Amino acid sequence: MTITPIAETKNASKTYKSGDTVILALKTTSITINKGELVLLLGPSGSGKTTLLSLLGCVIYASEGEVFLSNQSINELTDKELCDMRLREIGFVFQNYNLVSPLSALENVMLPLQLRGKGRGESREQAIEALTLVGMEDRMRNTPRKLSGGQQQRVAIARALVNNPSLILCDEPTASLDPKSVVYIMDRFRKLAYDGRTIVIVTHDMRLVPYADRIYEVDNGNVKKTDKSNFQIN
Amino acid sequence: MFILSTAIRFIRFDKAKSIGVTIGIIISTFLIGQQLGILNFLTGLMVTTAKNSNAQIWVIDESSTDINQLGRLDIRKLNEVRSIVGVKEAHPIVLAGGSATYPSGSTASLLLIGSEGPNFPAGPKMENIKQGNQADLQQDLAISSDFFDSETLGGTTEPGTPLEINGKQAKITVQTNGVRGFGAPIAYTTIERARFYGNIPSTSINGILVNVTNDFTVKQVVDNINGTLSGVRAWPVEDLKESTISTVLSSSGIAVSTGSLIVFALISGFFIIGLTLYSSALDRLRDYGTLKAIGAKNSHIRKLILTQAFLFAVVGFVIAFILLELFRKGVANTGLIFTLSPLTVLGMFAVIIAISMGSSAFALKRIKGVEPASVFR
Ligand SMILES: Nc1ncnc2c1ncn2[C@@H]1O[C@H](COP(=O)(O)OP(=O)(O)OP(=O)(O)O)[C@@H](O)[C@H]1O
Ligand SMILES: [Mg+2]
Repeated sequence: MTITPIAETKNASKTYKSGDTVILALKTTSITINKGELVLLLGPSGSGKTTLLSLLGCVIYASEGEVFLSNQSINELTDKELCDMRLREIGFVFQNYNLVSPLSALENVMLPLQLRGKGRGESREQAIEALTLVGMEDRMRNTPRKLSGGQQQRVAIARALVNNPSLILCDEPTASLDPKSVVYIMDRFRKLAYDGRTIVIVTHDMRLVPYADRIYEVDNGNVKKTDKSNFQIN
Repeated sequence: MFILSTAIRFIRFDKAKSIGVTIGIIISTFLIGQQLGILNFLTGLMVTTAKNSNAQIWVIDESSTDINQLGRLDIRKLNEVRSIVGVKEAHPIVLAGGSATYPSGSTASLLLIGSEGPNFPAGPKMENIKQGNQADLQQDLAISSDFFDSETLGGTTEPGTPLEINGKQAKITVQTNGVRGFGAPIAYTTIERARFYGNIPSTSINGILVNVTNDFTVKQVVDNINGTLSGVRAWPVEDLKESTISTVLSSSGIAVSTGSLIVFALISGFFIIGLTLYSSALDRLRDYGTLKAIGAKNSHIRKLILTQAFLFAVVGFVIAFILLELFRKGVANTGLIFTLSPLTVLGMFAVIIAISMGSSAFALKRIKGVEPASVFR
């Protein structure tokens, strides 16, 4: 199997300035995420996991160094082009699901397609397909308020993958879920990765370790590759 | 298209605030429409005399610009006007103020408008008569009064009601329907009786009503009169109406008070709508942030907000328009009769759309400032 890099950071770092204090949230980091991998970013709170994910997700610019997505350096992109990049290349899953509350599950999943200018009929068809993949097709008319956390997260996953993005980025996707939902969702992710999707998951939930192809540990802004066998799984 | 359906979802989701915005729009639209309606009613009253005459041209004293305040002309001007090329017919009109006393003891001022029977070129027109007919004005002591002026005029304006004008006996023989004066109620009568009640010498008139022959235009005849005769000025009736309205508006507080109420309605509408939109945007900040994070551009967000503002404006306007129609019908029963021309309604619609979309700037500015990265926190 050939290895295709999807996302890379090259000596990328991120500092935040708030008032007089400068926070080095992510120290100089070079990592490569390859196609078809399920990658975990593990680390304690405040270590810089979300910062790294946001860099990969074209949500923020690196302070130093470069970030590549599908071989395109995002440093050179304008805000608008960054929007487009997020829309076309990336699917996001958030800790708090972040479904658009006035819209039904189906409409939420249709959003990324319609934002790309696809017609209603086509978007609907593809959205239903994605919802079926996460087992939510029979609840697609419900608004987020009427769905449980696990169900909302499944809809969010459908929304993240409906566009066929090169990269699916998840920030603590299981933090608000019960064990059964965690298993369901991780099984989905595992299967998606086998099917060639690339998935990066930020977490401090050790239960996710067995699902990973590769693990990075993030600690105090340092990112280092870790072998799966370093974690004792019980 | 999906922006439209998404906008509708957002509107329906925040029902309380959506109702708030809509009410804001309804109130400002209604207030503006009401003010314009009342202004239309008042300006209509100012030119009642012109509207109810059958003349194409009014020849009046050269220094007058307000049809309600006409200086006196010498009766000899009448023959001079008749001799002008293009004049088909010319009739004198006499205006006189009178103080009326009713059997009940109450008093009121009247504006007597006298012209020659049997045709009464100064009015009333047949279509404006509720009871009686033009011939009834030729009876002894006869004057007309309006149905809607009953309250002011001693309680009734039924034909047969006796009264005194400036101490002389008179009798209502004709009841008009919605012919109402600006300063005082209008009473039509013959030219002699207007002079008699108003103590106006037989050598004086207040104006000459002219119609032109088929082979001349109104403008040509106006120019002929103004070029030939001195001391008088001929006006096309529409011009005289305009002049009257602008004279009265500029010399009274009507324009200022109506204008300031409209401005007030606009400003308060702008802020009520703007702040309610802003507050509902604040409630949905997280949703707008999510939209941005998953790749919606600022232009998408702008369209989404503006579409909501537009929908609010359309719905609010339609409801306000229905309320205005009810108001119009309601007050018409009391004689306050106004119309809002299609152009006025269109203008109001444009203004409401503008303030509603303009005031969404507060919300837009706030949402524009939302970082897509904020959804990760
Ligand atoms: N916008 C910001 N402005 C200032 N400081 C920030 C900002 N975002 C993150 N930081 C800081 O950068 C550091 C790393 O934050 P980050 O959110 O990446 O951590 P994390 O590993 O995701 O933590 P958690 O597990 O609690 O989500 C923290 O010290 C945080 O306070
Ligand atoms: Mg985080």
